[in-house]
Amino acid sequence: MTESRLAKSLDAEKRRTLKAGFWLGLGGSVFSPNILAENASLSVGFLNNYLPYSYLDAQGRLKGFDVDVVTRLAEVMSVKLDIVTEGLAKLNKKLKAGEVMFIGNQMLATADNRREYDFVKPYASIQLVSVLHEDDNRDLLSLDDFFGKKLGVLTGTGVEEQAKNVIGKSVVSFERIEEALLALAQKKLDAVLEESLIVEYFIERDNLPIKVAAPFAAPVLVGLVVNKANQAMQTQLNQAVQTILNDGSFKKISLRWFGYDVSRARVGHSVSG
Amino acid sequence: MNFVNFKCCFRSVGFALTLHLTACVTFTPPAVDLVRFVPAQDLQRNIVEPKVKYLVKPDGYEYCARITGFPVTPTSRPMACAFWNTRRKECTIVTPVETGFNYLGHELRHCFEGAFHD
Repeated sequence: MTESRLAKSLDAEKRRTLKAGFWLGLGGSVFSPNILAENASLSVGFLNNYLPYSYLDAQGRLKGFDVDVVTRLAEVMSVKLDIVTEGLAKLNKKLKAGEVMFIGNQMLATADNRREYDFVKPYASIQLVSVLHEDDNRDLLSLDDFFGKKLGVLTGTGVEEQAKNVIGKSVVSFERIEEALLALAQKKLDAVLEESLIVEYFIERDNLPIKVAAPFAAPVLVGLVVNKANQAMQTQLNQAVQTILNDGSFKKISLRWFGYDVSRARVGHSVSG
Repeated sequence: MNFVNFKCCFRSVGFALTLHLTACVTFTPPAVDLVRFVPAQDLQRNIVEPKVKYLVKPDGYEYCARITGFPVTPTSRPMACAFWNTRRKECTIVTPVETGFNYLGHELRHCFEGAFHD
């Protein structure tokens, strides 16, 4: 992995900030509920350094899974995208000021976020997973299984805190998740805990000899959000999301970034009652 | 089809007499397990030829609750679960130490067809 690649990746501090922003809520602005006319301009804000969801490449072009999804949604809605790229704090201000209609990065459909926003139909499922070297066939299914083993985590996260509480000093913290995944690929760690889509992206991008193994938490749906007062936008986006899920275009985007259709969870169950 | 019934019993002891209270719950399989189905064709499958691993865990209910989000309650519980890695064509089925044909079959269908219900 090159330094320039590392430099473009989201470091732990930004991930912490992003998570805090999501949980604290970004809302507060009031939009007039208007249906977008054909060829109207839709102002959407994206984080500029959030691999693999939205980031600036070496030429300064905005790329990412969320960017591709929102671009396709704009095509379906027959509107032009006016993309704004900023860090989280500035995007937050622009949202409150009504300078962007919504933030194009997916958010967790948690109870807290649902109180702040109206969610558009979710289009992806993410999950906390263990990552093992591809030669490793051990069944490590819970934190207890990692006693005495080196477990890589991103520093400053809830995962780090929980892992350290359970297995203590053998937890190895990293400022950037790519560094943890590289250490795992070099067999300097037994495993890494991280969000599934981020891991799938780096495995593919860097051709790492590692694999997504067992889930460690329930899957969480993610999607776009609109402000509570913007039901017309929500309705339009709901229809557009349903369209791209049905017409196969979401699946193509998903395969390009992650190698599989991320609209469905990667766990199944049989519940009796 | 052989279904497994799970029963729970609660006992309470009073002051002057011993009172036995028995509250029994029979867990019935999900409706999707009670009907015949047409397996998805290769093109519609999540993994056409999965490599399947089967793990039997003493804490199978709790484990499946944790990874699926469906809690263990007195009246319902995840009887089995599966997780898969589509890119690697691998699937792992987890059940508790006692299970039934339908639960194992249900999870095997997940290995081929991915999230086919809910």
